[in-house]
Amino acid sequence: MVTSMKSSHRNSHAPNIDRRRLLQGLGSSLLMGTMAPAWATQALVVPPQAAKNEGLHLASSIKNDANGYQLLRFTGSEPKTQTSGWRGHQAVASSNGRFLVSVARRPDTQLLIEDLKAGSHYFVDADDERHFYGHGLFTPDNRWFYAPENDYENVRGVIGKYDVQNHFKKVSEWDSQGVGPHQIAFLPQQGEEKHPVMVVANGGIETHPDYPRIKLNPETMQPNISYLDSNGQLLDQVEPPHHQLSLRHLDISSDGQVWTGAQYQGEIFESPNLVYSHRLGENSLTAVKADDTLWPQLKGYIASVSCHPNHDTVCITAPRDNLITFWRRSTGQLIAQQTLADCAGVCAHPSLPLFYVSSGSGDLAAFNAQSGEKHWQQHFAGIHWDNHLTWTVS
Amino acid sequence: MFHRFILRKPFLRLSTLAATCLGVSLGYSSALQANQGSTPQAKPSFNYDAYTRSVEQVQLQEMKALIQDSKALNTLTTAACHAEARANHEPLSQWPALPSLQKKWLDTTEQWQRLQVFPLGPNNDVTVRLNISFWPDKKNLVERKARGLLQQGESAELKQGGIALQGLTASEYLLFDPKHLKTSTPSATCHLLTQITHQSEENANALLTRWKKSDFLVDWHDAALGNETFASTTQATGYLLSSLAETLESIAKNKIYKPFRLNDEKALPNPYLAENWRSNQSLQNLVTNFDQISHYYLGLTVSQPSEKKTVTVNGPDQLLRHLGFAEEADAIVAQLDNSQQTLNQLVVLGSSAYLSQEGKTLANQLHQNIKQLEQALRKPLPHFNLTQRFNSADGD
Repeated sequence: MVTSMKSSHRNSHAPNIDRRRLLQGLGSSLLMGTMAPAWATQALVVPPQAAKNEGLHLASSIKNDANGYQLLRFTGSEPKTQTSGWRGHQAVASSNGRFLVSVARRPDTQLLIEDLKAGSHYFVDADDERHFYGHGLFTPDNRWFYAPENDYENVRGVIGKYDVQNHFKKVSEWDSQGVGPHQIAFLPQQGEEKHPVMVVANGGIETHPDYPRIKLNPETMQPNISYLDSNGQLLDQVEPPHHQLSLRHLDISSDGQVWTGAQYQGEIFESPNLVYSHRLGENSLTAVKADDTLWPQLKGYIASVSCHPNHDTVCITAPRDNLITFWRRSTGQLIAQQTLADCAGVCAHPSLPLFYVSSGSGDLAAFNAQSGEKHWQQHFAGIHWDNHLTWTVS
Repeated sequence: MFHRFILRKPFLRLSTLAATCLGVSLGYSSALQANQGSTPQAKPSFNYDAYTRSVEQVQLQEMKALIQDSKALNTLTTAACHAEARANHEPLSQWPALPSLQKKWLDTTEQWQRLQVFPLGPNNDVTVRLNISFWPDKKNLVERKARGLLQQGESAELKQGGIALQGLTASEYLLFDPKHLKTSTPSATCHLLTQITHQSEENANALLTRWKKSDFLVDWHDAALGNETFASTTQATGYLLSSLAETLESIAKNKIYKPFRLNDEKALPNPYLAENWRSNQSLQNLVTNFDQISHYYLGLTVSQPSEKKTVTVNGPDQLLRHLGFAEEADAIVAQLDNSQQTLNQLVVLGSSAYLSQEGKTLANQLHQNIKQLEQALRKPLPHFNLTQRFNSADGD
């Protein structure tokens, strides 16, 4: 039993409070418990020492062979799931620990909001003639939530702005300054600044829900990285060296360096460099240092990017080659590689020198952020972790 | 080309086809005959290397044939669109070159239908396929984009039409669309048509280049040794069976269920949702698809230049029997046979299949047959220890 809210600034409907209260009254145990897969009742889901010492707080969109598409979160060894009914992409956590949001990937049109404090959940629909791209972002003060969207009739990317305090009601939208906006992130907060500069990876690919999952403009696409100020105004923009390098995923280091991974839309055997870094104001993207043969080997495809907050390392996954790569941020050098079948999701531990990587084959593994050495790996039968892994807050 | 002649016989009953295959099968006939005799437990042998090579050779042949057809279409178009044609303001329907261009287009499309059902490797990418032939096109994007570029006249650039205009569906619009043939002229059409047929030739060449340069081909070739993609030839065959089941699922949904509107018993079919409705080839495409799927399951006919003859090599059907799953193999053969019988009845109706209750009833029967065939193909899959691909197959 769930509620669905049409949270449109143009078609404003009052949230269905009665139904929400009913959900709150039922409590999370019933809501979650009825949906929990068989493995959720098993005591051990990660190595107990890891659960204890690392204080795991992870979330991801998953496909569960038993129950379909779900939002998964677990703290330590205790998993909770919530069925979404559609394939999610990124799970977005508010920094105060209250909300966890699963964002539908294209061409689906819903947000699944878990209010962890209230023990309830509800859905928010995209506006008419919009769909989500699977990504979102809370402001540092958790007052607003942003989501890249497709204004598909006008072939225009937009960033939807949602009021967290008003049941994620959409209040406005910005031009994303490109087509196919995908992952977004904030540059580090400067002083008391409430709203840092937003960085948008505009993938450049035109899609339309009438032709789901079809790339309509591979010859004329124009991807870019755009920097938007607190009013959505363009501050800076940079394009990749090849127009078919769809800049899709990114992360930002604690000193403001943007790292982005591309998905090449040309021939795989001709794939150029897929990983770049950039800082606001620089004229062009800086390519990492690796042998040219690496990129065709990765099948021209990067899934996720994660910068470690305390270490000079960025971890990048390439599921089509089952390869996890570790790079030195300061030099752009490849420092280590690990294999993990269908690896995609990656996130950093907020303090320990660890990266966690999840896979579509059901594995979750931890790697040393400095050496790339594997610490542990656990298989979750019947679970397919989707493209991103998120560290949540206790 | 003897090989192509054999493949283009569309109405062979499967049982006949199987019998034909048995007679010349490499490592097939004697063993299967033994199985049909008094020792039902005997399992036929299976030539693993011959099998993987047959798939490689047939793919190569089919791609080369597509290049040849695409080149012929482009050459003929270029010749037809000479200076005189570009000054021709008569309706396209009266253009003397039209019938021969339509014939070349039909040849090229038939060849694409053969390649379309091979479900593995680098050319299985959806963008690659849409570049060759943009379909399904439920909102008629091809016509909208084509009309937009036609209005730009000689300054039109094909790439501005996006993926919808890069291949055969776009040239089909220009060469077959009844309204376009009436209202447009060679003068107005030639600039865009020559760009599209040129692009089709490029697309066909790219298929072969991509295939030759792919890791998939290396891994398939060496499947017997085991590699990251295939643990063994047996597992590689399992992936082929699994992917053929997915292909059939797509055929059932997009080529039958939607155009015949099987979701609503009383609804009239919508032939505009069919694959090549403008050229009235949608049902013939199905015949070609099934013919090729049958070959991929029962065994492929390849040439042996050294012996100046063709042979039919054992396929997944014989592998299943070799592994002891004759019952599953029999079920697949039976459902293939049922599907082809029903399809043959439907094809006889021609374009009226979309206009009559009889057509809808047969389409419904065919849909059920294909779903049963799909299930039959999936049934033995647990024996093949396949890995489910999630992020690497459909990420974002």
